[in-house]
Amino acid sequence: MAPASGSRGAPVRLAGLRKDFGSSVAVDDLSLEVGAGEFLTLLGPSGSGKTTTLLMIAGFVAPTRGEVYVGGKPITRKPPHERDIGIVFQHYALFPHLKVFGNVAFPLQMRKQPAARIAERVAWALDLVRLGDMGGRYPHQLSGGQQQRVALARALVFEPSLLLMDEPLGALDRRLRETMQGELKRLQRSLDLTVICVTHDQEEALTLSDRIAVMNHGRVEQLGTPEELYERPLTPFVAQFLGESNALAASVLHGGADRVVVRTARGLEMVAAAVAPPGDGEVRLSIRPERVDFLQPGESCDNMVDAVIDEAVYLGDAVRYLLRTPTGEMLIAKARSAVGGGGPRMGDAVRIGWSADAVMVYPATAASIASGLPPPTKAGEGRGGG
Amino acid sequence: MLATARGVPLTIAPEHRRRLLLLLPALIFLALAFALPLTLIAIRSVTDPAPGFDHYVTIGTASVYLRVLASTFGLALTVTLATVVLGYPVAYALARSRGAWRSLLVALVLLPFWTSLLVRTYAWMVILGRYGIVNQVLMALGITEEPLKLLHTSLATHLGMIHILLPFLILPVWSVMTRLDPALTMAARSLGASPLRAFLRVFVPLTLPGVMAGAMLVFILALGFYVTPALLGGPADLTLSMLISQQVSELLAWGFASALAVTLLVATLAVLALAGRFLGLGRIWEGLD
Repeated sequence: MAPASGSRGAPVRLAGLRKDFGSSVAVDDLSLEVGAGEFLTLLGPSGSGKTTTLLMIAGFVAPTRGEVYVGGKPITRKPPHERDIGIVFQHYALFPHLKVFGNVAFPLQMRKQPAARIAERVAWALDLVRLGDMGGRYPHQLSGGQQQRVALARALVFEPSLLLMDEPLGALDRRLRETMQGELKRLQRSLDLTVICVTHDQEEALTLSDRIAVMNHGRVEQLGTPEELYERPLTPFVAQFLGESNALAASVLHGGADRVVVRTARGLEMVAAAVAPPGDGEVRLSIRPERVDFLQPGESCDNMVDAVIDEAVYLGDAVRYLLRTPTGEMLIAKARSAVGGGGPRMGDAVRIGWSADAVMVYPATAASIASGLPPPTKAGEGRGGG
Repeated sequence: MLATARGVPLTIAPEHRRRLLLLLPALIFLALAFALPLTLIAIRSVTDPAPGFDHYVTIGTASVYLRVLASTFGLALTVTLATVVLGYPVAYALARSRGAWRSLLVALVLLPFWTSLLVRTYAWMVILGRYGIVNQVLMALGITEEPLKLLHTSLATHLGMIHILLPFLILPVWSVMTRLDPALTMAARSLGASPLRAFLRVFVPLTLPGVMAGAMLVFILALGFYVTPALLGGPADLTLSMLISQQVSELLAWGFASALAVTLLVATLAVLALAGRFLGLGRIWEGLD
C-alpha cells in the first residue's frame, strides 16, 4: 500500500491566538500544542470559535494576536498557498469542472511537478482511498462517500505537514460515517498524519480523536483524551456537551473530608465524592444517565430514591428512562435493554440509586451549557444518524 | 398496477391538465401576437408582389445584402466581446462587494438598465455631438482645434450598443459568481494555488457558463438592434434591421422586407443552434436560472 515513509506529520503549536470581529471576540487567547502524528479535535457548538481557529491555521483569517507554528516554524504571516496544509472541507469543495484525476493532480500541478511524477502520485493517493479506478469520473458522478475520499486524496497527495478537516463526516449517512471513521483512523495512523479536525458532533470527536479540545465562547474549556473528557469533565458545559447528563442545581449541606452532602433545589439529598470541596453554598451537579441504576429489593447504594417512570424510550441497545422522584425531580437513566424486551415500563414504581462517585460537583458559577441547547430532560440523542 | 400503467399514455393526468390550463392564456397570447404575425411575414416573403422565391435569390446573390448581413454579425460580435471584457470585472466586483458598496454597484448597473433605450441613445447623441462634452473637453485642452466627428460614426454605434447591452452580460455572470461556493477557491488556495492561479484555474472556468449565457443574450439582442445604430451610426453602418425598416417605410417593399426579416430570424436561430451544439445549451440555461 502506502510507500514506507518516516513521520510525516509535523507538530503544531498555537500560541495566544486571538481573533476579534469588530467588538466581539471569536477566539480568545487560544494556546495548545498538537504532537506530530496526533489527531486533535476542536469540539464545540456553533459560535464557539472552532471554525475561526481552523481558518486561522489555514491562513484564510488573520489572527488579531498570536502565532501559529507548524514544525516549529511560525507560519502566521504566510499566505494559504505557501502553508503546505491539506484541508478537507465540509462539503468537500471538489472542482466540478475537473475529473477525479484532475482534482487530485491539482496540488501537484501547482507545485510544477513533472507529469510522470504527478501520474504516479495521483495513482498512489487514489489507491490510498480505494478509488484507484475512478480517476476518469467527474465528482458529480460519485457518491457522497466517494467524493469525501477524493477530497481526502487531494489533501494528502502533496504530503502536507498538517491535515485540517471541517466536519469531515457531517454530510454522510450513518452507515457510511462508521466506515469512513475507521478508514480515516487507519490512514491517519499508517501515514502518521497530524490532524486537526473541527466538529460539533461529539460522536465524531470521540471516535476519531487522540485528544479533544472542547471549545466554548472562543476558549478551550477542557483539553484531554476522549475518556478523560467523558469520565472527568471539568465543567458542567463539558459534561453536557459530551454525552448526556442530568444537570441539577444544589446547595452543600455539610462537607466531609472526602464526601459532601448536597440538596437540590427541590429537596433531593445525595452524597457526592468531593474531589476538591467546593466550599459552602451553591453548586451544580452532573450525573451521567448510565450511572443511574435500577435497584433490586435489598440492594443498596450511596444514593437511593423511589421514582416513577414517566417515559421509556427504546433505543435498541439501551432504554432511556425519564424518572420522577417524590420531590418532583426529573432524572434521566439509561440502562442496557433486557434480553427479550423485558425491563421496567412506563408508570412502574421503581427504586433507583447511584454511587457518590457518579455525582460530579461544580461551583455554581461554572459556565454552563449554551442556552441554545435543549435542557437535559428533553435532550434527544443528538447524533443525527439518518 | 399494470392496468394503470397501460392507461397512462392515453390520458393526461388531472394535475397535468390543470397545469396546461394555467398556461393557456399565455399560449393564446403568444399564438395571436407572435406566431400568427410571424407566419404572415414568412408567407408574405414568398407571395408579395408575386409568388416565388425571388426575394431570397436577390438576398443571396446581390452582394450588398450579404455585406449588410456580414456587417450586422460583425457588429454584434464586437459588441459581445466588448461587453464580456468590460462586464466580467464588474460582475466580479459586484460578487465580492458587501454592504453599501454592493448597493451602490447594483444601482449603477440597474439604473441604466431600467432607463429607456431611447433616452440612453439620445444621451449619447448629446455626449458625442459636434458641441457635446467630449468635443468641448478636447478643444478646451487644446488636443484638437476643430470639433471631431464622433456622432454618426461606427464608433458611436459601438459605444451606444455596448453601454446599453452591458447589464445583460453583467447580470447572468454576477448570478453565477454569487452562487459559486467560496470553499472552491479556498480549496484551490490551500492546495498551493496563488490568488491569480486560483482565479484562472478554478474561478474563471466555473463562471464560464454565466459568461456564455450573457454573451449569447447580448449577441442575439445586438443582431436585431435598430434604434441605436439608426440614431448614432453613419450611413456606412447599415444593419439588417435598418435595411428592413428602409424597405418598409421608404420603398414600401413589404415582400422584400419580410424576406430580409425571415433571413435575420433564420440566421439568429442558426447561431443559437450552433452555440447549443458546441457550447451546450444546457450550460447556458443553467447560467440563467
